[in-house]
Amino acid sequence: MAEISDSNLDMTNLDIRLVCRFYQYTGGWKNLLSTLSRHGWKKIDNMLEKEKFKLEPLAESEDRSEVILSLRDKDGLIDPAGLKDVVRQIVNGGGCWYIDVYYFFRGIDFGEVARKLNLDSRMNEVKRLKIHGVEIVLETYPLFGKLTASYRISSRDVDAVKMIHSKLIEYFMVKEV
Amino acid sequence: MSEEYKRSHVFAIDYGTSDFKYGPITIGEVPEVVENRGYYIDKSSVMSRIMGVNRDIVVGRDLPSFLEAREDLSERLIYPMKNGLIEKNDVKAWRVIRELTKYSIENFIPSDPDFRGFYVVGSLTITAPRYMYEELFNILGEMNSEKMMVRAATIIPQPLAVAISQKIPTCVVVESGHGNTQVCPISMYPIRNAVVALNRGGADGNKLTSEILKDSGYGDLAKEEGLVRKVKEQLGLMPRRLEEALEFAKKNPEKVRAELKIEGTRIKIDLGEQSWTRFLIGEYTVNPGHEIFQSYFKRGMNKPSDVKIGDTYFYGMTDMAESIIEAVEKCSIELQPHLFSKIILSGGNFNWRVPRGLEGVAVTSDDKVKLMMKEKGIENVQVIVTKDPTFSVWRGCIVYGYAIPYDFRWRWERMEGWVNYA
Repeated sequence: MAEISDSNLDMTNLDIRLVCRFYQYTGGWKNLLSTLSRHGWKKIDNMLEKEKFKLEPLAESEDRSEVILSLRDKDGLIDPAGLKDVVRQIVNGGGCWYIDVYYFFRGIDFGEVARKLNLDSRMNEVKRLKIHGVEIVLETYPLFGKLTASYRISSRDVDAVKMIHSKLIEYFMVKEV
Repeated sequence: MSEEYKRSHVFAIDYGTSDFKYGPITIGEVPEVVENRGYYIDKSSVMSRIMGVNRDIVVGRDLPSFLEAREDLSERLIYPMKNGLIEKNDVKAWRVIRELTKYSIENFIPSDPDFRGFYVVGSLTITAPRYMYEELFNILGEMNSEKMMVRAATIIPQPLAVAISQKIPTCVVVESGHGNTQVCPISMYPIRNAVVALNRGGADGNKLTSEILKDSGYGDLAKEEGLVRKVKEQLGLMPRRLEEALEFAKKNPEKVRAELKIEGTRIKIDLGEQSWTRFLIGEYTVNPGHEIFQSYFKRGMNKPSDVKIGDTYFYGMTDMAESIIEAVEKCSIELQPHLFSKIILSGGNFNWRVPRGLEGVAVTSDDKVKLMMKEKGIENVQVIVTKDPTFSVWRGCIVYGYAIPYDFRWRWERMEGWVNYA
């Protein structure tokens, strides 16, 4: 007889999005598809896959100057070196002017996080901090146990991605993914 | 105000009949969910005076703590939408929608001094008449009386939001939520005169699950709505073919049996010899007309009935494949093959999984609908279930709000664009 628990069906509590901005020309998802497929990414349905990573287009602006991508690792949590490689490929191979990297954390223990980072554990807040010289914007929603962290990366500072990713995971991943 | 500002301040609200899903683009993939209901507090009662309750309506997460054990509870607890619709003059219902809308936006306002209001995308049932759009635009405009909360707003039909989230311009969207089901052919825009609406949704599956729990000796738990829903979601199965699944269950009772543990309690639910009824739960959502359900109706379970709300008929017992065929056959013959080739299933009512060991006997919703269509002579069908179907309307609203330019003004003739309040 199978045993089912209503607690083992929780969704993972971190999503990562990459927002690719093109410079002075309309790129869009189709452009990214063709440029990245020349760099070893395979098109499967409307997604791109390379090794353990999946890139899925979520939305694009009407003028095709910006595309929102969801990044997933088939094995679970994305490792820092892997994220750096993907960002580098998208910036260099995909022709993005810059990328905004967004982390959406759910199920945050705000008491714990607030203590670490001197955040308000009751009110929504927008706070800025620096990691490895890059400005990180934190948007907090304590009532809902949610927190969004974001930063902007161009081809010059891709190497910072690895350290920023490690730091953000250390700060906010209180629960197992 | 710039396009860049708009893109990072899109706020989506899915006005579901039962569940109200909401949140800004900055919370990622999963919206917040509260029940679409409001409670009118009796301010004249002594207890509310003693406790210092000074508001007359409560919505959202706090609501359960205000419920009074009173006979007039049903008059005070208002579920504003019936099949996604609200009567034009139903003041109490519109008040609940106003409070819920305010509650949802207010709770996500950032403390950022640069905040200048959200670009709100609301989503209503495809059958919503024009006055519902007008009323909702009025409500959103009134949000700014104390502080700027809504910079601009737009409203799109729920099936269109699903098509947008899937990036498929020509398709049939079957959006089946808790209260009702909308079958809507889309060719760039919804084909409104081809829509088929069903007076049936996840709540009907709950009713059957409740009966099954009673039959299995859990009559005490059958009244707990939240628990019944959990049992439906965790134990319910969608059979590939009901007769074959029941035969399988008879021959392999242990393979079909499962025990559900409810976290944080001592409750364990095992349907035992009645485990075959797990297959009925899924079948009922797509085909309530199967003769096996007659015994439940005879014993008093309410049949989904045909109702007319406003100008729209909502059918009770039409099976899912029949509804899709009826909707598609209202469209031009040239378009029909394209519509049959892309059927998108969305909404929590299509969220069925196949447990290990039951592959081939139990199926997911897309396989079931495909099979039902084939049995009715429709081949070359592609059916897909959206990822996390419960949230696909909300996600489509986010994508829509992100994509349409901030200076694109609302036009009633096309029902698109932003109504500006700034």
